[in-house]
Amino acid sequence: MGKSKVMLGGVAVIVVILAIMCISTYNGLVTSEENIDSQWAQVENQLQRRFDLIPNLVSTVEGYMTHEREIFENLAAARTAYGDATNVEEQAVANDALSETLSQLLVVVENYPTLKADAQFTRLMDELAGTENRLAVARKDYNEAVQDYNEDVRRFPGSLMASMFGFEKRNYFEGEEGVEENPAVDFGGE
Amino acid sequence: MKQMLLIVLLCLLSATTAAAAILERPTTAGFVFDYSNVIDEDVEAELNDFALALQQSGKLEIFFITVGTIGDYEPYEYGMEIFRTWGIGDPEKNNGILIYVTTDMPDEENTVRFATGAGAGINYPDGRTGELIDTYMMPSLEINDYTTAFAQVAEAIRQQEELAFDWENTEKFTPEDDTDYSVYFVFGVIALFFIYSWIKKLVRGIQGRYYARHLKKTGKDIRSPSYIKYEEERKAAAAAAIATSYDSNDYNDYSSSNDSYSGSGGDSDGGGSDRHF
Repeated sequence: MGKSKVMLGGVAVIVVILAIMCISTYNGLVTSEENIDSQWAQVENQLQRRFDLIPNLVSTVEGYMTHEREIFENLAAARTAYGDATNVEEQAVANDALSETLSQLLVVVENYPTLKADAQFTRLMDELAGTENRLAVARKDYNEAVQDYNEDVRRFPGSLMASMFGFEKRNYFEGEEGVEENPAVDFGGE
Repeated sequence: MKQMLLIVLLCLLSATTAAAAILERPTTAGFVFDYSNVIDEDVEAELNDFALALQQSGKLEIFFITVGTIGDYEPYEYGMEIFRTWGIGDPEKNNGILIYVTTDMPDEENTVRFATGAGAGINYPDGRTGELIDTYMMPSLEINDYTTAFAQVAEAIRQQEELAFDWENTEKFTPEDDTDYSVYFVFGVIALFFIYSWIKKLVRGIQGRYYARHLKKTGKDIRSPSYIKYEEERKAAAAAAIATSYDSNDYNDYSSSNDSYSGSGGDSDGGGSDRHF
């Protein structure tokens, strides 16, 4: 009689401990996932910011660069592609295309010294460079958050909780290989 | 044994060169970290006072840093690392600003970066930070005058924030200022003061001589009350010893709390601008 009571007590204790572990693991997964979402919000913020800057850029330089139709067309296409993207992967690909087009534009700008000397243009380029930097930071933070979460989901005991409650691996924000450079904006002192 | 030592040394060497760039969070108070030792001492002290005043006003938290090199880091990356490792700006407001300059990188690769936290970026968007660098820092940095670069950008920030703060080293901080007129004005005031007291003395002298002559002639004392008072004051002043006292200078305490480090733990979003020089 005594023995079975002790056993029952022991089992109860073990059950409680397991329950606590489960709860804390579950909560950990939730926190990780929330973190991803908040970092993603930052990424979208910066993407939107860049998206909004581009028309300004185009209108500022168009007057100077009247013969560069092709670049502007590419830029418009890349911008539209970003606007049409529906999930993270598509956005990443469109983002890289946009970055590449912008850097092409910057290369061409080198041929227009009067444009480089324009104060309005300089300010705009600073804004663009700043946005690219912020985007890179937000992207890195997001990817780190995704990494932490994916590790939690794949490791034990997180993997148990994940399969039970439907936590899935999330995608990194990365496009094609090799298109990861941010457009370099380099202004040497005059 | 020797081999072990060699291996250990090699490991240490590679570790130090790989980690050459990111500076550790300082344990001393202050806002100016002139690791390259290129800023004049007195200007450095003033920048510290200014940054402290700015921090206490709650508007911004600025750190000024000079380093030899940032290695392979991109300027914005390096700025972010420092921002986050050091924690610059109020964590609620993210009003931190970091201005750093490299001094020893190869020609044309030295970097100046004006990095902002998300909160500070509202009043200092990237266009503005680029403008501040171009106008106030680049001309001096081109000739390696780091002191003037920092001094002038600090004054520009002071003006934008409308912070009441007097620079002692005015030539360094506000060289555009036309001080000639104010000097003349001060001289004028001093001259007027001297003329006034000279005229007063003259009048009293004439009065005195008149009273004395009248006394001699008629034996009557017709001194006015104000003249009597003047005479007594003169005697008292002549008799009194002159004592001077000097106020002790306040010792500036840069520490903001128990921790002697001055930063508050804020974050940056990667904003700001940089230039190469």
